[in-house]
Amino acid sequence: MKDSFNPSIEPPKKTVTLVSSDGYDFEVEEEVALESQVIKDGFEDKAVDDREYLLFNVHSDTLELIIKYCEKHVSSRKSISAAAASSSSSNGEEALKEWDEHFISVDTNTLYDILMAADYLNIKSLLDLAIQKVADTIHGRSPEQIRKKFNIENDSIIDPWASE
Amino acid sequence: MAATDASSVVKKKQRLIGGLGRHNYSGSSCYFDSLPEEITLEILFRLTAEDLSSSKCVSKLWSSFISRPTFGNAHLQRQQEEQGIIFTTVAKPTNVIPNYQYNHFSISLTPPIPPSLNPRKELKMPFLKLKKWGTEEQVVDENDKEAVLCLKASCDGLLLFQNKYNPLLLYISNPITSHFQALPPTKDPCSNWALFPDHYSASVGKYKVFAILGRSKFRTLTVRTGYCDAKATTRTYPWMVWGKSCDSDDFFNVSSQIVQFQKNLFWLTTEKDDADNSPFLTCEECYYLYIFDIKARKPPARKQVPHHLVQPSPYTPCNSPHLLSVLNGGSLCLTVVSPHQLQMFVLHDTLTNVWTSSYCIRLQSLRNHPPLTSFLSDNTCLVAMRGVDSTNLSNLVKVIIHLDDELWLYDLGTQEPRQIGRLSKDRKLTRPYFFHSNTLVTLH
Repeated sequence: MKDSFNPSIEPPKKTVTLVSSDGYDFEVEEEVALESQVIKDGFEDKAVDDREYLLFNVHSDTLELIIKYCEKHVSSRKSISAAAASSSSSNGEEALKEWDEHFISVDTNTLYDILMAADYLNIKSLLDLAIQKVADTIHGRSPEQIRKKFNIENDSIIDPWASE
Repeated sequence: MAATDASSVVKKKQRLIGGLGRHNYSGSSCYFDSLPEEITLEILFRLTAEDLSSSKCVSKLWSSFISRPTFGNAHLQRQQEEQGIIFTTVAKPTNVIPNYQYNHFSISLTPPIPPSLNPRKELKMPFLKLKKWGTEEQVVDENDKEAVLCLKASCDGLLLFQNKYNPLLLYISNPITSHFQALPPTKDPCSNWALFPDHYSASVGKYKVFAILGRSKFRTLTVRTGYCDAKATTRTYPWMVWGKSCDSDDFFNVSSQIVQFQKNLFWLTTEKDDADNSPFLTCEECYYLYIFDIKARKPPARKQVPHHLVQPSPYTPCNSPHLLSVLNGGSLCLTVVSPHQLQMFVLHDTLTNVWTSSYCIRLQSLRNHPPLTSFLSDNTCLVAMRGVDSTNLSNLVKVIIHLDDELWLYDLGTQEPRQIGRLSKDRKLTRPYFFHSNTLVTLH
């Protein structure tokens, strides 16, 4: 862990720049950015010095979260496969699940932003996580509660059960 | 841990004042009804049937998604990937509740079991609003104790009911959209029904109701379900009779549910053996498999299930309901249910009529003896799962047992019983076996 702060040992990692819709630059490691299928798809065609992506649909606040998610997943994958290689027992996957759960426990607006960004960037695991979160939130709620929670306008559908 | 990970995200200064200038969701309020369609559908697919009935009332848009004729099937398929069972219970009238109550429960078969051990929320059928065909008159109302409806068939999440005391009356229902409608009365008090999609019509949402009246006499009705003006609608066409009856129809008993696979309908019958020419003596009965080509409308083909494999006996009465199921790869599996054993036969090719006796489950030899005395007992439901391989027939049938107030699932594969929920003693599991799309249907 300490070594990673020492630049003389680690070679400089390749990075790409992600630019949020409100104009902030985020410099992230290549493999982190490649979690996004959209970035991955056109990646090899791009010149090395031109690895900059303008993300028109992702606000900096959301992008920060997305990068956090991708970094966590890249690093956990490494530690899980390292643990598997040394055949030492690891609860890495469970820990990651727990981390995901904590990560996605956000307010509705943020959840919406994450959904849209994960869809736009095509990060399947994150999209899956966010969709499941919405489904879990709907579970057991009344139509009115769902509308309120997700800010959906009531266009006056009659509840067929309530009308009995 | 999470905090240290976050430290590596470096937000650099804003280099474009005002940003790239397109959407800026953050901070402003979100609108979940403006999500892309495929995301909304994906969310809805993951909801339980109970949650769908709430979600349907959220907005016109969501309602229109859920009411699409294709939605029910897609949703069922997604739910089945998670190995769920939807089943229906019937509660008899009591002093408190004067009328019969029908409820749908869904139970997930994949552990972990929900901590509460209660069946998930019930989906109540809006029976009180049932109208007589073509009128505004209510045929089933609160005080009508006679109104016993039997679930006869299901397809794509649509359910077909028959009125027990007036078998000419049929109803179609979509519990997810809480749509319930009477069909035009039929002329034959038949008890063997099927519901299947009309693949040969161009329009989606067209279904055929199919009744077996005799060896080669059938009655069909076309039903079109759709969505109009934020309401689910059903349109029906007149009943059609097809084929004609013959003398031997009296000695003929449909003894399985009607199963559809591709362009064919299959069902099992018990009849007197044709080869047996002495009508007075043996009068031996045997099983026949009927294959009816929906499109060709020729008289159905009939194949005898070989005598040496199985034949009706006092222990497997001819009217005892057996299970037909389509396995992965398209072969057909017949599960013959007798009080103390389940016998499974696989038919790989209907043309050759070569049945293989594939699997036999004896009640006595099961580990952790399930809390039932017979596979045919009243408190027991057998459910045939979809998407099972012919090599793994022990997973084909699940046994649901209602013991006092408890609901148990006995898994014939692992031979482990597991409590899956609670269900009041007053509720009866619907009579076993007739089901489709993992929905149980009553036999009587």
